[in-house]
Amino acid sequence: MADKGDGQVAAQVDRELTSKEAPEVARKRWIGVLARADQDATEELWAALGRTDAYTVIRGPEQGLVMVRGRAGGTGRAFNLGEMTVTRCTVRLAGGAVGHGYVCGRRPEHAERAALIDALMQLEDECQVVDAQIIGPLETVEEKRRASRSCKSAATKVDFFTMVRSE
Amino acid sequence: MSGLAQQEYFAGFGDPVHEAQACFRSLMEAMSRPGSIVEVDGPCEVPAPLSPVMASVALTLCDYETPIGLVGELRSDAVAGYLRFHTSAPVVDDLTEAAFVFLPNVSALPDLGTMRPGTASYPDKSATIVIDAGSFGTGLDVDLSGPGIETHVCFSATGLDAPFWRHAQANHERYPLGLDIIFCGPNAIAALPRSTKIEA
Repeated sequence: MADKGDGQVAAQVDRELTSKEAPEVARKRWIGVLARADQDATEELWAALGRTDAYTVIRGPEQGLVMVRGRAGGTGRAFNLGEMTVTRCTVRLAGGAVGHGYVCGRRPEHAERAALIDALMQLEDECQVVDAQIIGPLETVEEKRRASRSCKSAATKVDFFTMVRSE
Repeated sequence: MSGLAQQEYFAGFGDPVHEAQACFRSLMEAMSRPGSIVEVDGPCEVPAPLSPVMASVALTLCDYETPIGLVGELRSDAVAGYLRFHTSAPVVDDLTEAAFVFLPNVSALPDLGTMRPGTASYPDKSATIVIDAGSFGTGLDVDLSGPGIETHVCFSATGLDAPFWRHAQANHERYPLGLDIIFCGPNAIAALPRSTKIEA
């Protein structure tokens, strides 16, 4: 219990530090959340926010392939895991703020929406509302999904030590 | 425009596929008929001092495999950022590495020997120079002849003086090696491939 509490505090401190000291780290977090989020969930939260911001599309939405690389065990040498389709888009709000959106698959509308949300997150007056109403909820959904998947795969884990003859 | 300390972004082609195709068609026409003036539209917003026509040429021809060299006033963060953002092409300082060299005017032209002319086995590995020529039909008249020209054609553009044409003729004499040149006007382009002979 105590351990979990400390972890939460540490995470909170960590988040405060990142948002104050390194804006690009904070931005990485929400662009990542938007990239991994479900399109329908994003659209639903966006509709609930009820915004109609004027913006110009600077680039895209355009589709392409990116090579996903991984490291065995997180520490080994980098290897190419495979290619995935990605849609990206860049928009500029009437005020000049620029947002980038990268999402997986061929989903131009989703990429444009993610870019628009990123642009709004650049605005000091808007970022807290957008963070609380879109990024936060999407992050919660993602954490739940991750937890449930880890839980399911943990249930199928085979512990080879139990296979040693016990007699 | 924005109070942010980061790079300013400008939109590229509104309809990337068709606008790039139309520009490519114009470039083909200009290259295959040296000295002829072919109309080209540019994207509506570009960072100064890049001209819309030059931006159009860059967005059509450049990609991640074509290093870009920028000369003179074009060597700015705004222009380099714009080209990198829209074309993914690397912007290089060393002109011998560049596949495309962009010049704001003829007087900024470096020694042609500093740009790659291709090799005997691969003459296509040469650089293409894109020059903002101001306007066509003003300046020193020269006669062009060679492939793509029935007899000869009279050509001139702002700033193209006798020394420039001497360099251009020397470039022609290295054929099949050499550089190809694209001139950008306010709303049109003209081309001078290495195969074209120049007479004052």
